[in-house]
This record gives sequence, structure tokens and C-alpha cells, in this order.
Amino acid sequence: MEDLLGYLHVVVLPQVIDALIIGVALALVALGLTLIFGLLDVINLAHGDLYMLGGYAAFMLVGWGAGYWSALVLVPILVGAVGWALEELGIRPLLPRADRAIVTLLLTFGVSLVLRDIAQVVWGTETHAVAPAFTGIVSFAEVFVPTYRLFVFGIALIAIFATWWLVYRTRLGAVLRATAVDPSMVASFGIPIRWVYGLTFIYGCGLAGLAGVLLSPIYAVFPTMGHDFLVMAFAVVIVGGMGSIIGAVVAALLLAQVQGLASLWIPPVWAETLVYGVMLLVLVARPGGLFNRLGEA
Amino acid sequence: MPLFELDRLYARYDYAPVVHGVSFSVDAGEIVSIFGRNGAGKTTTLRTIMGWLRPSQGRIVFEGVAIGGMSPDRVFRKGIAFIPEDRRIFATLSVEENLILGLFSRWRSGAEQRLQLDRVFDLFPRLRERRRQLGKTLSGGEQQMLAIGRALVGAPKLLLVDEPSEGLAPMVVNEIFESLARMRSEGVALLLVEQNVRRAAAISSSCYVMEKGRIIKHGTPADVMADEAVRQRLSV
Repeated sequence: MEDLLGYLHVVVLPQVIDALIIGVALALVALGLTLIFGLLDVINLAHGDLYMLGGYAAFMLVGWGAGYWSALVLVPILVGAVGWALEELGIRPLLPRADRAIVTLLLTFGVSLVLRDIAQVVWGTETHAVAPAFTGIVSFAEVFVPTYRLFVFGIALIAIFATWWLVYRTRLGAVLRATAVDPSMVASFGIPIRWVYGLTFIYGCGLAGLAGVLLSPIYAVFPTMGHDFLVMAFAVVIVGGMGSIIGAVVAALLLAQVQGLASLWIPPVWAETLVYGVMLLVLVARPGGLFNRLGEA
Repeated sequence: MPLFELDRLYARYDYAPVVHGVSFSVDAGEIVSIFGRNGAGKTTTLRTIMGWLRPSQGRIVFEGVAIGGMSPDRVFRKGIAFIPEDRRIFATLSVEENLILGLFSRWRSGAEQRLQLDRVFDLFPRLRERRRQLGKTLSGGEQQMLAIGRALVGAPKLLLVDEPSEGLAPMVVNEIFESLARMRSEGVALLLVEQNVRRAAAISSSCYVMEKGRIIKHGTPADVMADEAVRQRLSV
């Protein structure tokens, strides 16, 4: 009994805490993905690369001496601006088409490849480290957690809550939820839905940028970082329900725990396989995901 | 000059032409009804006016401005609101959120917003009681009231109403028609498509009968109701 408690305390608990922090960061990326899908019916395959750009932007800004704090504020705005360009130039012209789901999938796939290549050309294939805003370790009941990771957890949690509040508790959010289910009716009340689409896309990309800054000191930055993260984020969106905000958060926390705990006992590569196993199970048992789509609560 | 004028409008869906050269006009503060059987092109005419469909030919003129082909949000901001046949209430939004959507088209002060909401709540006190409830929890009649209220909060000059009495109990139909008549007395013009010919004719100043995408009869309600051929076609 004593041994078991010790094992839980020393081995399992730190892993749970670590997975919790990865989970909220994953939720940030998945939130953007799911909002954009829920509203525009666009599967943004370049979303992971916007997260990557967020990491590089943080690396550059901190390198230029701008400081971590200004990077934290500026990077989401910069990545949001890239998202705005992508929406304005690439996606918006395709939205009126009946086959918009497939053509935007192809477009964002292409953009993803291009962004990754640009990153390789500009910054090389090697890994770049970003210094965390602060070092130090906090201990709770003799479990040691780096202070920076706690900070990441806090900021991500605030961003998640702010997104929920924006969507479910504000008038703008009411427009968003209405647009998700019936855009032509929303347009018939004088609301230009192209703006609703544009703002949502920018916001979603900004969240990916925020995740990029937050995680860059933990995982460092490299050109394919977005790809690895996007695959996981897709699993989250599928498990949580395409277009569901609460679903994205719950599934991100759940899958991060599955991966984190499983890698205690099986090789990490297999832990990842287990995550996709969970995704397959959900797809078979509940093809729509665990939660309802945006606007269909 | 009439408030609204349709001049030889043609409209089509990808697969088939639906409206063939329809012309009519609506004056400010007037109720005009369009009758006709299913598939006559009435709904398509309303959708084309609202900008859900581009006219293939013809002019749509509102307050002297050609609005044909404008997007729905611009048409609304010109002063035209549309209540579609199936009401299209946002089921997962509260009654108040549904109404607020109608206030977003331009900047309004908080006081003006409250004034507009109160106007709707005075017209339909039941909506005030249910302001926090979700749209999907409302009865059919309450949903129709919400659809009318939502179109009204933006203070349109012309309201396009498609089959407001469809699927409603007779008591509720009375209430809906009373509210339509009250809107006219507040100066809103109505273009009404309705299967309930007698009820609609009773509040209209002018009626048109459509068949196969064309207007086959136009006149005062009395004229239209007196035409035996038309009455047979509409099975009144």
C-alpha cells in the first residue's frame, strides 16, 4: 500500500501534472481549429504551421531583445495577421463554392507545405531554443513543477476561458453561434458574415500563435513542430466533436492524459498510437464526437 | 413614387426558371399580398428581393435605389427585413439573443437598443416573459412572434413575410394577423405571401395572384375575391 502511494506520488502524479499542462496548450490549438471548422466548414491544415510560425516569431522577437513579455502579446497578433492574409487571399474567394470543404482543404494543405519550407529556408532545419520568461521550480506536496510550466497552464486556461466567455456570454458570440448554423439568415439581419468569418479565422490563428509562444521555451522550435502538433490537435477535434468548444477542451485534456500516462508503461511511440486508437474508438462509437457542434448545444 | 417596386423580375434556380417577368409595387405603410398555389414562385420572389438569389433580369427598386443583386446584409441595411416561411429561429440562442441579432446592422446606443427591444416586447408580451429561454423551447406561435419581432427590432420600412400563419392554431393565427395589422399602423409596409387568402385579403390594400411565375391577377382585395376563376384556382 505504502509502495503504491509512493509510486503514485513520485511517478504518476508528476506525469499527470505534465500532461495537464500539455493538454491545455493542445486545447488552444484545437480550439482555433474547431472554431474555424464549426463556422466556415474549413479544415485548416495550415493551422499547425501557424503554431510553428508563432514559435519562430517568439524566437526572433526574444532574439532581437524584445523580451518574452512583448513576444507573448505581439506573437498572437502577428500570427493573427498571417491568418487574416490567408483568409482574405486564399479562403474567402473559395467560400461561395459548393465544394468549399475540399478545395479549402487542398489550399491549406499547400499553404502548410509552403510555410514549412519557408521556415526551413529562413531558419534552417535545426532546433532553436527560446529562453523561458522565468526559471525556478515550484513544489506542491513534494512534486516539483517548473514555474514556467505553471505559467503556461495559467495563461492557456485564461485564454480558454476567455474564448468560452466570448462565444457563449457576449452578443458577438451570439452572432458567431447563429452564423455557425444559419449564415444566410444572419446576413439577412444586416450582418456582413464575411466579417464574422474573417474575425473568427484571425482569432483562431491568434490562439495557435499564442500556443506557439507559450510552448516554444518547453519544446524549442523547429520547422516540423506544427505538423506533429496538428495531428494531435485533429485527434482532439475528432474526439471532442468537430466544431465543439467544450469538446475540444475536454478531449485535449483527456488525450494528453492518455498519452502521458501510457508512456509511463509503454514506449512513447506506442503511447501515440494509443491516442489514435481512442480516436478510432470514438469515431466508431460516436462518429459526431463526444460533444455537439457549435450552435447545436 | 412607390416605396418599393419590382419591374419585370426574372429569377431562376440552377435547374429551372421560376419567376417570369413579375412586376408590382408597394407604397409606404401599405400591406400588399401575393397569393398563389405552391410552386407559383412567391417564395422565390421574396428570396430574390432579399438577395438570397440574384435576379436574372429585371429591376428591384427600393426608395428609388436599384437593389437587385445586392447581398442580403446590404438589402437589410437599406430597410428591408425578411421573415422566411420556416421562421429560421436560432434554436440554441435565447429569445433575447435572437432579437439582438436584428440590432447589429449599425451602431445603436444602449438606450436605443432597449427602446427597440421594448417595442417588440410590448407587441408580444409573451416574448418578454421568455426572454431567457432558448428558441427551441418556444411553441410554434411564439416562434412566429419571435421571427416577426426579430425582423422588427431593426426598424425596417418594408417587411417581407412568407406564410406567417402556416402550421399555427387558429387562435394564434388571429394574434399574428393582429400584430401584422398593428405594424402597418406604425408605418411599416408589408409584402405578405399567404395561403390563408381570406385573412390576408382582409388586411391588404392590394393583392396579386401568381401562377407559374407570372402575375395573373391584380386588384383590390374585393376585386380578387370577386373573380370566380381566381377563387377556384386558389380554392377559396
